[in-house]
Amino acid sequence: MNTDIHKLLRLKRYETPTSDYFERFLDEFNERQRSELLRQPTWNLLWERLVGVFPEFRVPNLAYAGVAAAAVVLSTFILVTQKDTALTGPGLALNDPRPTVNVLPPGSGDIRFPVSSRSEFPPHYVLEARPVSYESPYSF
Amino acid sequence: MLAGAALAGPAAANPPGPPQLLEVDDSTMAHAIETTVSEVFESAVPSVVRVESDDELGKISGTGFFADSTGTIYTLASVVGDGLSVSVTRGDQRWPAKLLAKDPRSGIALIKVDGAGATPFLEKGECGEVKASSPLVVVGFPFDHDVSPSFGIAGGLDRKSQGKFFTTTHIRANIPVQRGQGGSPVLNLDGQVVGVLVSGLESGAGCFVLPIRAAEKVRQDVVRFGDVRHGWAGVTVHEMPMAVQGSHLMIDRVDPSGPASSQFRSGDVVLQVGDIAIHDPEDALDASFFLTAGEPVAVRIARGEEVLDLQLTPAEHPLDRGNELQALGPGSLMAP
Repeated sequence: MNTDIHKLLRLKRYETPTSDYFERFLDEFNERQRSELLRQPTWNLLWERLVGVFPEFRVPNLAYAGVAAAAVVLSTFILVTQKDTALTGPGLALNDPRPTVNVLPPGSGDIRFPVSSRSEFPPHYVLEARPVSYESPYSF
Repeated sequence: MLAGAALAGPAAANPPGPPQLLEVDDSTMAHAIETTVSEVFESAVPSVVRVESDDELGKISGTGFFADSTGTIYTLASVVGDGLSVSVTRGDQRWPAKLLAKDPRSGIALIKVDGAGATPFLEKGECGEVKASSPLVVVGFPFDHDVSPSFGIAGGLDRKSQGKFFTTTHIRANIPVQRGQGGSPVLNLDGQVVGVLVSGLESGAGCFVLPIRAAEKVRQDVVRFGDVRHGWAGVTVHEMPMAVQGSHLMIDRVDPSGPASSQFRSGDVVLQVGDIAIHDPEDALDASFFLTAGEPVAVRIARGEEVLDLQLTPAEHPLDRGNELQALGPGSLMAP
């Protein structure tokens, strides 16, 4: 048994890959490294770059929540501001096809929308698909 | 130009033979059809109304027609919804209507308007005379359009369609109809109503018509009893390969709790129920439909070599006892 293994090891000693193999190996290694990097989220890559540039940069954990809350508040403010501008803008006031909201006098406690209720839909015009049919001819 | 031709019935003086062809001018024939249909339509219009109702899903619209001078109107059960808010329109006139009865077996509803005075109504025709090729006119309200005529011919008499059995024989008419015309009167060329339009065919080029005799059974029940009273005999039947006295209908089982249990037996061959002659099992549909609960009906049967005339007093139909019929399968009406 040992003799066989020794023979095989001796043979392997002469199995040296060609130079092309090592060039391809290097290219393949770089490609896999890039693909591994791309699997990470973008924000993670950016964060690693940032930390790389400023090795001493550290952020308290609560800061993340604070930044997120600020972003939500800011975006809400922007959306509300744009909507108000659109509803009161002089160019849209005359021809705006969107439904408006009719607010009843104070104290009525009810707000009605001029959206069609079911009763304002066209009627269901009746013509059944087939006659009433559920009886057996074999009993009466 | 004498290209058109019409069939004439054999003259009394001529010996029986093939029908004779009368040569008719095309324009004359077209004019005759136009005139006849127009007369039928014009005479029916005062009796035809648009029926509208509300249910929880919204408005429903269909057609109806006066059945008598007291304001009773035929329409469809599916047109009146829950019956809480029904109104009738004819021209510029509009009346509230109350629901008298809805019959789930025929699909017919009866409503009534008060305060309309003596109403015009349509004369009932003999629906038994309708056969394949009989010309028919439908007068109804398609969609939100004004009252309109549709003209065509009867395609035949059917008891089932696509494997589903009707409650009674229906007229299949090759007449194009539209939604909204459900409940319209179907008239012969004498202007008599021979049926009620109950459904359309999938193609829209035809329809099924409940014969006026079946609708009148519903109305007569309401007039006499205040409600529809379908009858039930309590027998299950099967088809015999060999006819006995012209009938293939043999009683298979008699419900011991049913009204037929006292006189009828398994093995009896049913020959006639009331005025309906029985030949095939499907004849039992018509026999069943025209039974009235509590009202005796003559039944002729063959038992062995004997022919017996018995009397049956039907019980209340299972459907009227709680809508359980739909859940029962074929031949399973024995123990409602």
